Amino acid sequence: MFNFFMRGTRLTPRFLRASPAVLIIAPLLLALPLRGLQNPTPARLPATTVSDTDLRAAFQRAQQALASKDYPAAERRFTEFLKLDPNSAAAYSNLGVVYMRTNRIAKAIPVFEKARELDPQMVGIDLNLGLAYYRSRGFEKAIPYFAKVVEAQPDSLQARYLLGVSYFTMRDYDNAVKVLEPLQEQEKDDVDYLFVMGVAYGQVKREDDSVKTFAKLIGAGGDTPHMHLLLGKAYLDLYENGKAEDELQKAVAGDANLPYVHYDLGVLYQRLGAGDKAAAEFDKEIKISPGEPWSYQNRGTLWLEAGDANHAIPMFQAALKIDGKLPDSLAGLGKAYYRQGNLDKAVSYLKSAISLEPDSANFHYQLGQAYLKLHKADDARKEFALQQTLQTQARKKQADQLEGKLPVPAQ
Amino acid sequence: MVSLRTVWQIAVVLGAGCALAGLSVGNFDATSSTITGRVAPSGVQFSDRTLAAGIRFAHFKGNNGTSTILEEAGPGVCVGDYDGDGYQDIYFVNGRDLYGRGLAARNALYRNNGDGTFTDVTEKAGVPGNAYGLGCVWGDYDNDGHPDLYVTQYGKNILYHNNGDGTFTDVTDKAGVGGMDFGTVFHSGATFFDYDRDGWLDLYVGGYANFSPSSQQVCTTEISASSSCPPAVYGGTPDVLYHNNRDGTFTNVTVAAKIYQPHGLNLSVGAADYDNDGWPDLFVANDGIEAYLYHNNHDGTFANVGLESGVALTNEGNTMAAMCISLGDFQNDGHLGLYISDFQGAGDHLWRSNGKGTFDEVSDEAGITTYTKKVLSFGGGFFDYDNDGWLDLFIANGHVYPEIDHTSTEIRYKEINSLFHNDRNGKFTDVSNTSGNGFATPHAGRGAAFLDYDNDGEMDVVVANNGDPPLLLHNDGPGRGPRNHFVNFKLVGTKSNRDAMGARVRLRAGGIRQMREIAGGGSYLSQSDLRANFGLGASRMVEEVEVRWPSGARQLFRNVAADKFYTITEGRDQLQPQAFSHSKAGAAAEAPDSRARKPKGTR
Repeated sequence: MFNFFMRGTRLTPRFLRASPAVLIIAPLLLALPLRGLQNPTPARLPATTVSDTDLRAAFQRAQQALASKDYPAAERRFTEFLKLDPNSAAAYSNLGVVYMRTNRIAKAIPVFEKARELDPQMVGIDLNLGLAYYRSRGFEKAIPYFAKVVEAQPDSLQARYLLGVSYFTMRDYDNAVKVLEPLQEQEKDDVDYLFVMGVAYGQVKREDDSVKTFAKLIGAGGDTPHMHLLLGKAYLDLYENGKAEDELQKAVAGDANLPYVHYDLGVLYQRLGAGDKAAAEFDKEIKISPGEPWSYQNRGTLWLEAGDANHAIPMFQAALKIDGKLPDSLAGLGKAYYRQGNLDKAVSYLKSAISLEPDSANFHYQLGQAYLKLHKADDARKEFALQQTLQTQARKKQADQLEGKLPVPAQ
Repeated sequence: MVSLRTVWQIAVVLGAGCALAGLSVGNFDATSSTITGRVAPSGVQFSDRTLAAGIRFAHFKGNNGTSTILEEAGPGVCVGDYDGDGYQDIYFVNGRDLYGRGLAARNALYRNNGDGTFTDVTEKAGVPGNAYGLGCVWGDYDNDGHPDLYVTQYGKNILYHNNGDGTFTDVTDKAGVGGMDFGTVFHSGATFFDYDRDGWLDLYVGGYANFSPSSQQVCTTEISASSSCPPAVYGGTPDVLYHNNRDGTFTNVTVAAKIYQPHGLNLSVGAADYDNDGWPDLFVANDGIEAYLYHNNHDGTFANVGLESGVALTNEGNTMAAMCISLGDFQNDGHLGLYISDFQGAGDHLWRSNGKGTFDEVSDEAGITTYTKKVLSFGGGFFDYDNDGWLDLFIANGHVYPEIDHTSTEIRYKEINSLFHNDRNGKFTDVSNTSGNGFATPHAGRGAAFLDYDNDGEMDVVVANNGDPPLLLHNDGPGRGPRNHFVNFKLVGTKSNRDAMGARVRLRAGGIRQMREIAGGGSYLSQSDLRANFGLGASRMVEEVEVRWPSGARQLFRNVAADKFYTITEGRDQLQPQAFSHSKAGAAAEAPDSRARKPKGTR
């Protein structure tokens, strides 16, 4: 039903002694979020000094534009309408839909929030907000909205699916299984669903169910490039690097332009220290999926590792243009500017990274180094103190995990 | 843990208050060396001469099934001329049977016969060790002209006093340097250095994981197999600083020196003057926690400036596994750079000094990150293998999880060592694959030391391998073309400590300015030949050699002929040739220093 595309990996904190790259199962992107957006609801036009008739007409014109996908006109008209009726929840919601459909997710969220504030009972507003946060990778924020929809409408397939995937992405595998399991019959032939369930079952130690699900996955997927991509991703997560490479190369052989396969190969080669091969794969993925930030981000990291801040900067900038809230790209820019000696910019970007990931010991350390070079010793000390605290906490956690006192984080 | 740096312009002006010794000392004009662009590797080959040299030692790691962290720590190796015949001897450290299986193992002292071969003289010398051995260092702590031997162990360490007649005496208890003062049992790296510049070598001893038979022995790690546990499981233990009382005894001054760290996970330690203030500082590399850089406050105390100086963590803010520390002026800018090794997948780390007491990590720019991510790096460091006047990098590699052979298709427990050529433009080139059969066989490499064992002016390497025989790699020179020239200096302190640890040698030849600091320790649990060997490229003459002694004395020599081995004695105007004796009975030691065993408080 829904096409899920594998997304990239994030590096775990490098205090983990062995390989620095632990894969997080990619946030799965719903290909059709727009279809899920609730259609604009008819306006309940409040009283204004403008006549009701005029307001209704204005609203309808805006709605027609939206219905005929004339998004610039729709945006203009709803914006104008809101000047006439600034308390129109419907207009805000529809404007949010316009933003979503034109891929301006960051703008959609506040208008959806406003609509909800004005009319919490508006049909579909929770789903819309969930979708908006989901599309902007704010999975933690998406969860409560999807959960409300599922509670109110347990049969809402889309909301349940996205809720389950959001839990999965947040590594809350217990809830992912609980939410998605009821969909087994409906989604029994959906390879993406089977992949997610197979991994989730494994993570919650339901090994038999995991094995059975992966068997169904292989049966359902057949010898397709997409199937090989899924298997490659699974092996990548399990650190079965040789098998991962085999499957991913099979995926490439079947479809060299399959989105994300080159990204995963890049991650694999990066893990193996084959920087040149990793770079080549990320470059390919950028051409195939120019709208995804991860390849740009990883490519930027490789440029930095090669000592080339000049080439790294445009990569991180490209990633941020797609998603302005990528802490690793912000920190990457910070590092690149630091190496160029542009310390004010370095500080600015590192602070932005920290605002998104305040518990990153690494970011605090790097900011501290930049402050040192700027002769801001007090600021540097504060950052180093934070870094020490965070690192001590992380170290304790790692030790507890290794001693079995804490579960080892899922890979 | 080098973007193409502009060459630092250094003005080193001799201080007005410095004591002048020997020839008058003018300003040692210290504009930086000329960098002319990338220089291709020289084609030098290394051959494995271990068996041909008569070395039959094999390290016994002593595991009983899955190795523990102790059994994978592996051995160090230390090089020193214990009998004073001018040829470097080698001491190998061994493990022990900890499970009562009746398996015998001992350390081994190999005496250099002067003809390319070595003889095991351990029994005669009386230096077998008495516990699970880890590392070793040489240092003439009593300034009698005979280097003494300190061995770190799991348990009490040993100080062997060199009796000057080919034998040693265990004086650990008398000297008070067992290393267990704070309860540390798992010792690691050590170094002799004269931190208070009183002319007597002090001793710093590292402490590693708080591991014992009652600790968790094995873990399921990221390789999804049962293997030795990382140090984070155990926590750390304190290091110890011993002050030399000049009467054969030492005093634990760790707390007084403000250098006490209860949770250190030290593996390697190196003493050197990182900020060029004339006082030796201390680099302590820790496994999985931040590194310490102890700045010498000149008053018997230290301050940890690791974070502010930029070397406590990598430039990413990550801790390092940090098996090896090496300090060297790899950019010929008059400042010591720093190399620290790291774990598989992490990439090793190279720092350039800014000359203001801070460092920038330049690993990526230097080109070592990508290659070293593929290996797990242990001992080694800077040395000039092709005598072109620029310090290159050798690293002994080997994993710590034998089980990885079964769980990974890409990574192996035994790995090939790495050799990087300094291209002079801030970059290093991996030349491991083209440097001879010495780089053909993988091992679980651990300690490594640099030495010129045949005194041919070309630096060789000895590597201690975990659970295997060592590797003695002979530098065979370039396969084609003329050999570069060299000059070798052995420094003998008279007012400064006898081994001249802490002395700086700077020379100018052929447009290149180089600097070496005489230092013990470093690498991984190991110590290299203390002589300063300089490559001179095509130059047959050294225009200037300046020595700055820890005592404050300075000496300058001009127009020194290349391809020779010289002794520089503090206070003596003339260079002396180093004496090489081929007598198997051993040469007579140099005349003992009259400072030896003076009552405390007198000089």
